[in-house]
Amino acid sequence: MTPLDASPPDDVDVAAVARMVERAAAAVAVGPPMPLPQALSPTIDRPSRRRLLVVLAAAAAIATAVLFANRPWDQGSAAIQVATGGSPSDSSTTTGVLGAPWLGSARVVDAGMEGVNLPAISLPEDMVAPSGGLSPPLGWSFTPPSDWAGASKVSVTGSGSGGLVLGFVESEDGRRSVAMSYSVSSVGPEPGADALVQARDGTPWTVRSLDADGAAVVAISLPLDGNLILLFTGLTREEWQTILSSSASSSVGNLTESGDTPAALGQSGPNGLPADLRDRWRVTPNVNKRLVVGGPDGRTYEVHVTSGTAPEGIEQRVTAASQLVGDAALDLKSRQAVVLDSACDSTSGTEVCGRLTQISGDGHAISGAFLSAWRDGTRVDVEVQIEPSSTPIGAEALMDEMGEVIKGILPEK
Amino acid sequence: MNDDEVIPLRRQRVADVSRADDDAVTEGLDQAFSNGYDRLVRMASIIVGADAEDAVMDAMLRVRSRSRRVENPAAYLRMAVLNECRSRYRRNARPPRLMRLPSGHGEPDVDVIWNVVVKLPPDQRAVIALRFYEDLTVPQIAELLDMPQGTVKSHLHRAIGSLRTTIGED
Repeated sequence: MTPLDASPPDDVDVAAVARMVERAAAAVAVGPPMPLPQALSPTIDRPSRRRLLVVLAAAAAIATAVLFANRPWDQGSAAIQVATGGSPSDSSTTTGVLGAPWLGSARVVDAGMEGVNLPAISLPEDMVAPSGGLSPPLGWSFTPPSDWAGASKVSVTGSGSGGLVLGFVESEDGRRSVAMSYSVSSVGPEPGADALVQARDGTPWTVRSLDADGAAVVAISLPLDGNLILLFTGLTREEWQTILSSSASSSVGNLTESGDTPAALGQSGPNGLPADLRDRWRVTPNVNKRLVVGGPDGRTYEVHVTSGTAPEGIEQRVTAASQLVGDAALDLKSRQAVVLDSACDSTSGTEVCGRLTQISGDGHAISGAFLSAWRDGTRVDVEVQIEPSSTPIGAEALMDEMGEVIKGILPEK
Repeated sequence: MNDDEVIPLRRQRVADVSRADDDAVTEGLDQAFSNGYDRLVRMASIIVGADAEDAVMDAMLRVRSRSRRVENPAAYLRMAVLNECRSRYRRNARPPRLMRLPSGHGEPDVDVIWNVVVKLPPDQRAVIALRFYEDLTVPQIAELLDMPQGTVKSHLHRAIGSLRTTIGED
């Protein structure tokens, strides 16, 4: 086909254009590639893994819907009470309160990147952090006193970002639950302006027992706007039935009512990431992040956050894919869940934040990623991508679709 | 780049491999990725601008998730990147965002060139990336992009016309 609207290029043109393209491409700044995950060594076949991932994603979506529909933080007394907040300075303070009657060990998990200055930990009531409280190693744990009850506090103070805390609280009979998690980097708008989140006592999602066969794991994430994200896995049919029967048709898009703006982790300055972390996170004027975070099991997890354009006209949209690194994920038998990192970027003029949580286990390469995204402080989207490079779908669609999947495995009422 | 290196995806001998071979397959891809990352990103940048690194990474993760042995991992990976780039611009009709250029890159006209490149239609960007950056022939490009050679030539012609204007103004 010969174009009619241009004269044929001569050799000089072609050579000049070739040089031009070569020079332009050569001028592009290319950073080092992200570390590639190690090869997965699935010990269950891919279809099974996919099915399990679907269930995990569905569980997360449904649990979120249920939680937000019921707004448990507005109700009743709290078995778990976690406050986030802090001062707009170099340091942020996050305080979690683990309530009675759970006793046993709590665990601090740094899900942040290596080098993140996971903050000093100060533990009142004779709970002293090791090594002066700086940068606790993964898996650092403490055992509260036997009479630890009520409003015992675990305070985490410091700068940096990416640190997350999970409280694993163990009951006297040996059952253990994931009691809380929050981002250390949560910097509140002003001192004292804590976002108080309360979870109802006795609800299925606040404290799940982990019985011998790993029937349930609950991870509670407390983003800055007070939203909770719960991930369930391994629920029994009866438990699913309970969840579904109590589920309201709330859409994630209506769940925000945010009181806080997510911390501007992508910004430089006192509240933002240190320059070296910005580089390592590769924060660019657009959301373009690949995070490598360490899991509590000592393995490395890669989170890939990319920018995109939503057909609904939302200019900035965050999608996420998680890629498990290592030949196995967290072991459900060890009763661990991990909340991955959060990331924000506002250098493009629009603040976009994403927060990923992930739960995985069964001793196999299983992962489910859950992302909350905000735009200028308003939640705009939630997406779950259960396998790398799969097409993200919106939360509502996910819930619709996955809800059907779950319903399909449940007995009729 | 010689012809042997241009092995379109569908012509590659691709075989499912056992799990025992996974590591070897991954190792080959990783090697190709490591060796060719900069070049892949630069090629992708012509097509999808600032999304290039994401595109390359996504493509890499995708091919790694398949347990397939390919006879030329580099070419396979390049094809995957190309497909990822095309998939992206098909989802997004808007011109790509400009790649990040280091300050003081010493090429004052490079900014001008990029401004022209990103405004080219996406297929033209793909064609010039392959023709002038990857140094492929028209038949090779046609094979890779699954286009008639005449269409490739047409895209090439129009892109050159646009870029020639830039040269003239330079």
